[in-house]
Amino acid sequence: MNLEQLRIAIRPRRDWEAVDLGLQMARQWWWPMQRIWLLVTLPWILMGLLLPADSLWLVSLSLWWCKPLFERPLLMILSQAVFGFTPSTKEILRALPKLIFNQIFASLTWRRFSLTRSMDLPVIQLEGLRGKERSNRLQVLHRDDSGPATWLTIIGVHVESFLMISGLALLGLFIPAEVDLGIDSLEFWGESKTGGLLLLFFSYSAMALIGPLFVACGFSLYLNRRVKLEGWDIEIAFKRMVQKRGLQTFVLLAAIAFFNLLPQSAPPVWAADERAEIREQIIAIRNGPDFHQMKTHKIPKWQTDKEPELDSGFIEALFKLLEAFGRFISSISGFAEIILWGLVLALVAWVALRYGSWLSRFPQLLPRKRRQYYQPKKLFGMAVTEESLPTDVSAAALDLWQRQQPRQALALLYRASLARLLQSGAPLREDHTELECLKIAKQQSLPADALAYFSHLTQVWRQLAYGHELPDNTLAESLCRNWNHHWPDGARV
Amino acid sequence: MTQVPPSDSEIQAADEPREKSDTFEQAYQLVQALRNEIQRVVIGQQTVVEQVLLALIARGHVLIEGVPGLGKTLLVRTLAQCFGGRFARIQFTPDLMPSDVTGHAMFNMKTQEFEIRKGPAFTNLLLADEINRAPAKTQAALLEVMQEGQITIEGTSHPVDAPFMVLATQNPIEQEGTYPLPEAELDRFMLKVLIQYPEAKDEETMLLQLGKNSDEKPVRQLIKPTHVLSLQKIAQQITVDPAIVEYIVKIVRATRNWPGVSRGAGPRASIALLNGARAYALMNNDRYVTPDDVKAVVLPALRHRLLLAAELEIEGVSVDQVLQDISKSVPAPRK
Repeated sequence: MNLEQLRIAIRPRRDWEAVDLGLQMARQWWWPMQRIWLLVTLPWILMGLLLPADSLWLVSLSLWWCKPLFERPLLMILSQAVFGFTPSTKEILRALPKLIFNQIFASLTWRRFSLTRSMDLPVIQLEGLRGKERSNRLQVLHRDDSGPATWLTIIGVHVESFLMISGLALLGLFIPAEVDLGIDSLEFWGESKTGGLLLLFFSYSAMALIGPLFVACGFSLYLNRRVKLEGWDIEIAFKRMVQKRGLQTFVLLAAIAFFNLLPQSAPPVWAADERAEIREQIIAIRNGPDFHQMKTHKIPKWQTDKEPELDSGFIEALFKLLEAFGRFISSISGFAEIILWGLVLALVAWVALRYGSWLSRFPQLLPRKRRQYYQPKKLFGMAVTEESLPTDVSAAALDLWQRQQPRQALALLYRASLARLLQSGAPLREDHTELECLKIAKQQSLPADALAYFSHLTQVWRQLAYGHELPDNTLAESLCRNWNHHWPDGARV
Repeated sequence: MTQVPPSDSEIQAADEPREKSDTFEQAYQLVQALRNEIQRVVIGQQTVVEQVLLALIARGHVLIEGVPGLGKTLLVRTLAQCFGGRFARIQFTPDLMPSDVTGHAMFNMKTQEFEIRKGPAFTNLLLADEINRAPAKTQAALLEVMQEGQITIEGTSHPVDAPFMVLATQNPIEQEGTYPLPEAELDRFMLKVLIQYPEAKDEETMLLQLGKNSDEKPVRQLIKPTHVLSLQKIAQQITVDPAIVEYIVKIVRATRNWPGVSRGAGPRASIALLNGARAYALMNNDRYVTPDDVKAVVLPALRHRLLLAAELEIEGVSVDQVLQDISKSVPAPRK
């Protein structure tokens, strides 16, 4: 390695300055890098295109996965170009198998997701380290400048994704709605070959754009770290001195330095006054400008927490006012709390009054009540409880009929029947008409003769109640007599 | 509130003579024959046929709502043919004028006199097709004839022939370029009937009948227009217990205080319910009105008279749902 041939200015740089240098390097050797990238990746793509339409996304994925391999020829170009020698395409292609298969397994598995990949690549490729040596070396390298390497990967992933999505979106915007390329429906892994091809094209383009920048920046960080560790700048400075002053001066200086650094076996003996003089001289030199050179670096610092400068008098007055207000509030807080709670309760009451009836229109909004069946005590204005009925319904009804009270007689029979129906659990409501009651009765497991009796009774009752038509005497008497038979006492249908 | 039941002597007095019973039986048979004859031609749509007949018997007018092509015109023409009545159809359009409906006075140059040219409204059955396509002034031309049974032209009132019935149709889906019927007009319709698509089986029967010669089974004229008037008279004489009247009033009044209803039904609704229940009883061979008859006509008689509040409409609650809730809330007549 001949440091004099370096095409870049060698000096210790701050981390992001090194990234900047990396970008410059990528610009400088952009086309050779692009050419090699295309030569290496295109066969991969072309082979991938032979896959069926629904597997095209696999090509994009594999391309992305094997990116660490495709970055190696780029690093080879850069590493030689910084020393003034750009390798020819033929040389790179010849060296390609060796480059690619170098630690291939580790690079594609657990190291694939290393965030400092760009900075680590030169260690395995240029220094050829592996195993423990490699990790020791990386430990030394990562002590500084590895932060930007991590950020470089994160930013790279994002920019690459944005470029790909933007490309797809831009294309989608220019394509008429009638043409379905699978962009709108994101059918990149469906049966539409166009969708898969577009995804491949845009992901490949994004990788081609970002890849060289990523490799160059990582390499620049690596170089910067070595410059700092190994003092390349000092070495170069010495070499330049040698060139300028000649070899003899350099040897003399080196000898002086060497001997000064060696432990002195017999230190020179100085007189006491000489010693004091020397000490004074040393103190003078220490206090002199050589040891007090001030260099000013200006770094912008965002002062987010700077308090606004306000008139202190105004602030004090404001604080006093606030304190007074606080005291006032605390003095009335109990009262205010009562008022506030009162307001809240009033609001709740108002909402309940205003919208309560409206809410009741939507039973699904209200808390679900346990379904409960209440036996009505009255139906159609008639008492239908067991207690309101006479012990012998048939006899009582017949008695009423014979006393020329036909309506009361039939009403008794009808409500007694309803009472029995209710006891059996028939869901009768107040709004049910006679025919609806009959319909519900038919749904109950009533004995056939009881149902027929109830049906007949309903018909006769309706005629009497609404049509004012008196039933035949025989029919009415038979209805009265048969009630006990069809609804026996204590019978629960 | 307790209803005092009529005494037994009253019941005895109300017992009808035998000959009246025969007339009633004949009337029922006639209505059945009419219904069967119409249903022979208008396949499916039993409810619609029943409700249109009900309105005819109850001297009411019908607003039919449904998509085009469901046989509304056929129904009206068949009904007219069944009782030998005259039938006129007006297609309501935005440029239709009131005089196009009622008629107008025209100066006869020969006799040097004004002549009254009667409009299509002078008929027995008037089909106002797509009534909401004409502006309000033309719709209002029907107000007088629907309520009074007469048309005033140039200051002279001309009665229309009885029976007279308006059947208006409107399309529920196309609202662009339509004029919603004003409340006064809506209230004059006794029933609002919703006509639905026929059942699959009915549709198949319809298609099969299309292939046959239409002259094979012409619509038979079963009765004369005067018989319709008799039917209407018989229906009017059907017994109505005071409890039923009370029940009707309760239902109609409940619509006025019901939450979510911004405008309830008016007294015309009570009249429509009562007349409708009477006609329904006749159609079911009942000589008296029962709460079941009232319940059967609550939906068609009230659904166009209620205006739901905006919040219920937004929630998608239909008028029919509200009406069902209302009839559930009103207890059946207390005896």
